[in-house]
Amino acid sequence: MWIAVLLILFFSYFLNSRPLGRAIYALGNNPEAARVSGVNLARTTLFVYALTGVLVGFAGLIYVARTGIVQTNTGTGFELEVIAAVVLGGTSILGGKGTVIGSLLGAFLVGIIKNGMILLNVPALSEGLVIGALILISVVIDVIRARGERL
Amino acid sequence: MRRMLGQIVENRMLFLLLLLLILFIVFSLGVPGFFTFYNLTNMTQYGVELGLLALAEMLVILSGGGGIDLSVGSMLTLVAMVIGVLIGRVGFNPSLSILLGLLAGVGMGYVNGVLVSYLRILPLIVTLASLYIYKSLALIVAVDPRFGPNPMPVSNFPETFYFVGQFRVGGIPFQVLFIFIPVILILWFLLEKHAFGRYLYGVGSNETAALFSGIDVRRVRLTVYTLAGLLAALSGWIITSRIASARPDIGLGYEMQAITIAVLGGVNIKGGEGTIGGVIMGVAIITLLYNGMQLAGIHQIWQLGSLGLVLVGSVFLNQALLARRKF
Repeated sequence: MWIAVLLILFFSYFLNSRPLGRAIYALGNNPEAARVSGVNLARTTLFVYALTGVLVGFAGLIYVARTGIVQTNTGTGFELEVIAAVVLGGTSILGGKGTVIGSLLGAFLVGIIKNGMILLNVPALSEGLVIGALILISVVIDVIRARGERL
Repeated sequence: MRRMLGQIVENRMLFLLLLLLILFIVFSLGVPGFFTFYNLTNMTQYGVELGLLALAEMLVILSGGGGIDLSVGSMLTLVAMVIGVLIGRVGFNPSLSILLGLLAGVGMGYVNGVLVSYLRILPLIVTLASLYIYKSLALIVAVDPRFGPNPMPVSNFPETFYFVGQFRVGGIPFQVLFIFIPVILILWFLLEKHAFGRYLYGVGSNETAALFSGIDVRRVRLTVYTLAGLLAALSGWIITSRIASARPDIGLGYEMQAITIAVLGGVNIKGGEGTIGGVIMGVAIITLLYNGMQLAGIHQIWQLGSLGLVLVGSVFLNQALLARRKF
């Protein structure tokens, strides 16, 4: 828990206020413009992927510490669930848009839905149905809002 | 020699063919039991199922605009369950059930297509959502109230149902001769000889230009996603028939394999580039690798890893050689 809080604070600061953090957004928004303004594209990309590895490492550490069991198939299927959470949190799949807090809320949302459905005694089978519908609804709202801005 | 090398590199088909040949020779010499008629034809049974999905993925990726279909595995599962439940539990006529299953696939693909092309939501998100939804529906369909609240596989099919997945004509599996090859021919005709293919490549490589030349971009995309649903449905039907059981988890992870095969086969992930021949080569290479490693007794742990290495290696080699040639 405290590890997560620390990481969230650190990365919120990092993405918003450090040159490298801004470079990541710039890269996602317009690679060509970012290159012209002096962002090293290859190095920034490399950094982002390496950082993903570090964060996944933390996740693995916490997971093992929490469950106390190590299985070889731990984490199977996580990638899609995580993408869903991040998309729900408002990150643009095209890159260049999104916040740490948004992703956190997205992850919480997915977690709470799963937990709530168990507590409400809804069969686990329809979990996917709800998550899928939620993704679609959130995106459709996004599309409608974007249209409103343009008009 | 250098010219030959250059040609091989520039022509993706040749490159893949060479890779296939090398694998084939290595396995034939090194693995006993590989180079037998039975094994080689047996291999194609698995290849058909993956191949149909890879072709579906190819069509969708070709259409551009970030086109990708993550839901093929889930569509396959849901179709398999629909067919299984209709025949095994409801007791429908098999042909009718299969028809309904295929229609369900078409419907699922159509829904994806409408969301992508008419509501203009990104394909990755649409198909991620439908992956969850279709998977969940398959689980719900699989619940048999007589045996409690858990999803159960269905396996009491009539003998005639196994025809498609298990019978052989002249030693060659039925589904290869009468489903896979016709599908390839039809798709080849559509892509190479029919106006639709020109539209598809046009939409994929330059959407704006296609729009200005009067192509109904949205209809092309809708058609492609619907076709992907149909191909996934065919694959689901064949699998169910081959393994004689409709399982609610059967299509798990297939979407990733289908995408990798399409990319290995030279389909540009940005759309507009890629051929059926390349994808077929990709399917052949992957199937050969799976089969060869299995027969060689390489442990499952190593199989996935070496598969990934071959994929990354082949793409990297191709690009590196291509880059060198340009200078």
